[in-house]
Order: sequence, then structure tokens, then C-alpha cells
Amino acid sequence: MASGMVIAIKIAITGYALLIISLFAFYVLTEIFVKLMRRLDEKKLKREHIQNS
Amino acid sequence: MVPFGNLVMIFVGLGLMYLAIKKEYEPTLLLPIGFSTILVNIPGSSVLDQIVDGVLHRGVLNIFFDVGISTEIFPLLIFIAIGSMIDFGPLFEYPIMFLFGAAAQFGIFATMVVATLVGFDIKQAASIGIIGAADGPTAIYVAGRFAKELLGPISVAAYSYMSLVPIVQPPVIKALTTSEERKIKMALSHKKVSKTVRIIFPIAITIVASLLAPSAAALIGFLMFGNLLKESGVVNALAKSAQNELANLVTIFLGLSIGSTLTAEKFLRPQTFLILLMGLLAFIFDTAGGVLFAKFLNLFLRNKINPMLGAAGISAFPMSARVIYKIAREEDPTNYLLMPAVAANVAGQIGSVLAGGILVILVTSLGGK
Repeated sequence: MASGMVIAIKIAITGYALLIISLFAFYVLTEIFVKLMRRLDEKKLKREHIQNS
Repeated sequence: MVPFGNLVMIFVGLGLMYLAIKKEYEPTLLLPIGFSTILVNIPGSSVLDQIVDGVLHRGVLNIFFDVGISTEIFPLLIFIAIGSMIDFGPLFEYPIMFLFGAAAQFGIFATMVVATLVGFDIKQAASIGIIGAADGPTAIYVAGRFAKELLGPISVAAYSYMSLVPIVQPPVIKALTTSEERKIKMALSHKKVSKTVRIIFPIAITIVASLLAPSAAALIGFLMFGNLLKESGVVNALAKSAQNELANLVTIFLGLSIGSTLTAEKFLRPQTFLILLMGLLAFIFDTAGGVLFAKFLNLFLRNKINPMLGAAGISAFPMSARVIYKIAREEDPTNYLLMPAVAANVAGQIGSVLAGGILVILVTSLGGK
């Protein structure tokens, strides 16, 4: 019973920490990726605008 | 003569169907579950395995269970369907909401500890804790792997509490936040993302998440595959099939299979009551975990986040986002929190799947094979 509790607490802390770290990584990667793609799209639009004019 | 326990279970089945039809609580799942609960509790019913003259006659619901649940195929197919329905757009506008998709899974881990405390073994405790994922297919996936004997009550708890989110979450949110905090407005974002972003996202998430938690590869992979069908724009017929035919067909078989576990001898036990109670606890812990995490983040942020958004990080979509939107409007009719709440809710769908995968790895490695 006591060892089961220790394992459960260990799994709970490790699991929750891993989950937060993983989704923090997703947050940072998505933020960078979306900003980068938006910048590329803007550049593309500008280039097209210059070519058209 | 129908034994008393079976009679009680027939009433449980009728009760589930009443909730589905009259109250519209998760009707797509509770209706087939309720109906098959009645079928399996009729003595000698041919839907279950029967031994006649020493010969085993397979019951159709036992076959469904073996084919779809034991092999984990039904929950995985449901993930393709869910993926094809999800729009990750709001998450691109508010990527910080990813954090709440993790924080609001607190109930899974806290409830697992409580379940161990009341006497369940670690695998059963993990299966009970996963009710806190607020995500039926993930709960079935994990419970089907670790505690098949508890699958019935766990599934019933998971789907029932998901539909009770509008009742469970508001009191917890209000108890943990001040009126001023609930009035915090979020900057509106109207920047659209390109189709390329929407296509790369499910592929990138699959690769990164599978590398982080290989046992989540099937769960996250199928979810994101469904999303890719939708976002690619080149297989609209497949995307529509996933959203409609696949979702509907698998839901019917999933519901009937789960109902096959709701026999009197498996369900009418004191531990069923404990599981239902701990399911409620898991949802309360989830909500509290999300809100408190948002408040913690606010200690470091210049532009404060409305802490109610933390509670939207559970996977119950779109109920939780609606709840937050509604409370925000009650506090201040000019406060529109729907988009960030939907972003947190969508993040919760990724978070719950990943939490399921992480739990499978940790329980298998630390809790014994």
C-alpha cells in the first residue's frame, strides 16, 4: 500500500511535469513557426506587389 | 426469474437512455451504452458468450469488445474522426493556451494518487485518473489497456461528467477567482494563418509528440491524421467520411461494446460508486489546476491572462469553452473570451491525448508490466 502510494506520487509528479514541459515546447515552437510563416507570407505578398506595380 | 442485480442494471440502462434522450447528455454514446446495458442483463442473452451443452457460442457484443476495445481499434478510429473535426485556428492566434491544455490535466494525476490511497492498484488508479482527461476515447484507450474490468464504470463516468461540465466547472472557477480577475479582457487577434501552417502543424505535432512520448504515437498520430485529411484540402471526401460515416459507425459500435461490460456482477460493486465519485473529483481537480496555473502565470506576465481560461484547458470540447465565455459575459457583457477559450479547449484535446500516452509509458515502466 505504502509503496503503491510512493509509485503513484512519483508517476503523478513526473507525468504532470513531462506534460507541462511538452506543451510548453509546443507553445514555443508554434509561436516561432507561426511568426516565421507570417513573415514569409508578408515578404511574398510584398514581392508580388512590387512585381505587379 | 430475472435476478435482482440484473433488474437494477436494466434500470441503470433505462436511466442512461433517459439522460441521453430527455436531457441530451452525450446522447451519441449514452444511448447505445444504455441499450446494450439492457441487452446484456437479460439472463441467457445471446449478445454475450454462452456455453450450451459444453459448446461456446460467441455473443455478438463480446466479439465487438474483443475486436474493437481489446485491440484499441475503436478509440483510435474515433480519434481520426475527432481530428477531422478540429479547427486548430484559434490555437495559432493564442499559442500560449497550449500551457493550459497541460495544466488542466492536473485532475488525471491527482485523482490517480487519490485512487491509490483508497485501495486501487496502480494500473486501476491510472485508469480511474484518466477520467480527468475529459476525453472519452483516451479514457477507453488507457482503461482498456490497464483495467478492462473497470472499463464500464470508467466510460460511463467519463462521458457523464463531460456533459456535466456546465454544472461542475462554474462553482470551482468562481471559488478560485475574484470578480476582478474574471473581468480581465484578452487582446483580440485577427491575424490569419496560411494553409501551409495548417498543413504542417498536424505533421509536426505528430513527429514531436511521438518522439517525446512514443506510446502516444497511435493516439496523437490518428488525431492529427484526421486533421491532416481536413486541412490538406485534397481529400475532402475522406475528411467528410471521417467526420460523418466513420464517426457515426464507430460511435455505435463503441457504445454497444462499452455497454457489454455493464453486467450486474461487474457494475454493482462498491468500487463503481468510488469510481463515479473520483471521476467527479478529477474534473474538479482539472478545473482548479487550470485556474491556479493561470493565476501563477499572471504573477510573471505584464499582460494578464483571464484565469478562467485555465479551466478551458480540459478536453471537453466545446462545452468548457462555452462555460468560460458565458461566465465572462455574466461578469462583463463586453468581454468576449470565446476565441481564447476555444484555443485553450483545443489545446486540451492535444494535452489529454499526450497525458494518456505519458501515463501509459510511466505506469508500464514504473508500475510494473
